[in-house]
Amino acid sequence: MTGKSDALQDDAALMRRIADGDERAYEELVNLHARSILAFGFRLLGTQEEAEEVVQETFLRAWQHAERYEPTARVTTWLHTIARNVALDGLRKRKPRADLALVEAAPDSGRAGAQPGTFLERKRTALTVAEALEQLAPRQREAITLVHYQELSHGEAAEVLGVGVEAVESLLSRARRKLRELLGGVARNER
Amino acid sequence: MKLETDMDLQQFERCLDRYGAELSRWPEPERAAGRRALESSAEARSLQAEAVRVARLLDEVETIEPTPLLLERLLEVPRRHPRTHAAPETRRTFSWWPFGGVFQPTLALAAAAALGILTGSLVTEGGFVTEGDPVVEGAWRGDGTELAAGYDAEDAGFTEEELEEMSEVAFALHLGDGWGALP
Repeated sequence: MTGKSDALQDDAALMRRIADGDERAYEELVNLHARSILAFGFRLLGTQEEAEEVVQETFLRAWQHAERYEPTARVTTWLHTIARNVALDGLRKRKPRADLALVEAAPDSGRAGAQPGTFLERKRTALTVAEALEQLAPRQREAITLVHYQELSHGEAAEVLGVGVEAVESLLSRARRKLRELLGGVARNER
Repeated sequence: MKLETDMDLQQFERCLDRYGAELSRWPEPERAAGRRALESSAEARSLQAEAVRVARLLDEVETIEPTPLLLERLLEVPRRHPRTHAAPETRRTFSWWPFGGVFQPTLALAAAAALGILTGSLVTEGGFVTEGDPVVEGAWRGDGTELAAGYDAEDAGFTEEELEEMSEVAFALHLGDGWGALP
């Protein structure tokens, strides 16, 4: 409990410095959270370009409205909430697309040393999993993204989604059941 | 099936779905009961192993890393967009004022009067002209237009498919209403 309140105080101090126009504090915020917010944007929108737009918009708003941060939740929760709103805004404006191509946009450079068979196998698995995630209801996908990928607590995910913890747990429950159903066969093959 | 513990297999599976495959992330009472279930039941172990495999599969989906160009752009934000809002702390500048108790209410009164005049000038037949950042406002507001379908409806006897459908429709409506708009 003390750990959490210490962290909240650190967050509040950082955001106060940013609100005072301290550019180094803003730089610290970017270094701490840009990677995570970018990944979140990518999980929600599926393309690098859109994810980068989300992260840029999120940090611009954080810089311009730092004084609005209230230390009732971690700054990561606040940033995720802004990013989610920006992403949903983007989705609303986006022209209809055939698919989200979650895997297509991922860079391949880090895989240079992998065996071709293994690499293709992993690509195929990644595609299957991405498709399974796509089949989840949007709210379930968001809950899984926030908790599994972004490693937010159930309470933090509830803050971001604007619902109660019970609701988040219900979303997670249904998402995991569905994923087990969709990926059960794949999981057994991977053994 | 009833296990030789205080948690039956169904409850164990429900906890796996709710809290995930890692027992360390379960709440304390459930965690202890879950550990006992794992010790005493092969079925419980098999259910957990399946949950672990699915969780690992989720990690197979690739992600992206910030490029140097993106980081550069992010760090340019303060230079390109100088802050226009004064932080509340700047009021400390006036700490030399000996009549703080009078000064602040006077300032508030003047601000209220100015706001009244401004509001009056902005009212049109159609209503108010609003300004602000709906996305940041929305971040704290926890927009009340949340999906209701699914949370209570599950207990009301809807099927999984019906719930999914309701969820999709609610999501579509939700976006259609303009997520993050000021109330």
